[in-house]
Amino acid sequence: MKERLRSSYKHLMTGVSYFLPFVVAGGVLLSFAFLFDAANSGGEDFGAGNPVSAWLLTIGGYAFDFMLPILAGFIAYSMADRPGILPGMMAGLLAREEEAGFIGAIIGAVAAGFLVRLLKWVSKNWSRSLSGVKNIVLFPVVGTLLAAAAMIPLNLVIGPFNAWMNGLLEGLSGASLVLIGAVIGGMLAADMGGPINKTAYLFAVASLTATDGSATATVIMGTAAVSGMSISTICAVASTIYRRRFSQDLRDAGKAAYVMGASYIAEGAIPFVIAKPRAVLPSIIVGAATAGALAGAFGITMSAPIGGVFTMPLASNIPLYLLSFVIGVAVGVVLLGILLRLTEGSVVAKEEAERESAISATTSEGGNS
Amino acid sequence: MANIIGVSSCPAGIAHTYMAAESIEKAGRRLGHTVKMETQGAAGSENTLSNKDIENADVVVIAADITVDEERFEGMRIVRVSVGEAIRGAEQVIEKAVA
Repeated sequence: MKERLRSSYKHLMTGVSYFLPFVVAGGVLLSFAFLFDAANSGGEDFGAGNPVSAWLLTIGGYAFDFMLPILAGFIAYSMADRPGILPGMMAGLLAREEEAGFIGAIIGAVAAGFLVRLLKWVSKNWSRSLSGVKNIVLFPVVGTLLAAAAMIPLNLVIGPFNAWMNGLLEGLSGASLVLIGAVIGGMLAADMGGPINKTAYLFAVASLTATDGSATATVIMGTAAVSGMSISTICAVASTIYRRRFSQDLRDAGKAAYVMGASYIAEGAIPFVIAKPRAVLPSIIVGAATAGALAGAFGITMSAPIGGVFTMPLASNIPLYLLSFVIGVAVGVVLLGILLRLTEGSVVAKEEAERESAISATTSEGGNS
Repeated sequence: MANIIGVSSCPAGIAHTYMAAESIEKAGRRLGHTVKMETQGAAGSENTLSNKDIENADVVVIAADITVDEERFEGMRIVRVSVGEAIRGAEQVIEKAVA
């Protein structure tokens, strides 16, 4: 059972791995479109008010159009190898067209994967002379037909379910949004870009598909956008403020972490967590959870499936978005300062200890070589 | 002393892929083996295993949270672990691989 769970997770993550670039590129291009059209803010065609913006809006939208087909195609690829790609992409596109959204695309991809596996099994003992037919005709044509046919009943069930869930998410308010924001923020920070982070992130991205398959702005994504940004930034700011606590390597990593935080990449925190897990990990989790909870409390929505400075213009309320971010970072940095003191003692004592260990390290290394 | 090769790959392909590869390579060398890890990150395949690497290898370590194409390693002994296991417990992974 555990093995099975692990392999299903692997299939889902393979899909996520391939669709991430589409999400990032689409999100950033769309936000540029709105950025270049700032003068037209509030206008009917906001985001397409001049040729450059309109062009960016179009290609950003195209990148988004690929999202569900790529996700589904590569889930099926993970399950059934190369012949899975086309039936999976077909299932993803049909889920999008029939308003079954992310859930439809994922379930459809699994169905497509199983159907291609079934086809492979059925044709396993065919003679060698037929293998060309198998690869060129059977898998693509029959596989696609079967996957598309499977999507008919699936969409009938998942379409309404998706609409119901979207309604539910839109109806969320107050305390439940604060809670969701805190949980998402905490999960995003928990393993800095690992499986827990990706699960929370996928949930937030999934909330962005409206019932008609178009993109919609949600508070859930707003909380993810703000809290995701704060993770690397907490480490970056801490390495600047508590300079003496960090080695030269980590101070350099801190500079990179500023950029990574601003670009919505949680991985910038990794070197810090490795060096000082007991102080850094709780701090980034609490800091990111605070940022997420605040964004939830303020009800800030985000329409792009990625946070960071590039998509900031897409937040429903930019000052409050920034405020949630700054408070989350501040909470994380202060907590980190306290925890560093608790786990390592005062700075002076630590520096002495480090000098000693540096001396003993050089002696032992000298002994080895 | 064993000849270990392997592939690492994580969903985002930015950091964990490379950390897993590094951690396996370090632990393997510490235990006296030769190790070559191919990374399949967002940049595609790097430190790619050559046919010769594969021919000479005793065991393959796949450290991945996503599906990795294993066609190249057909008939070889393959040890599969998650990226997390490779980063945190690389020595156990190596021990498992050469056992």
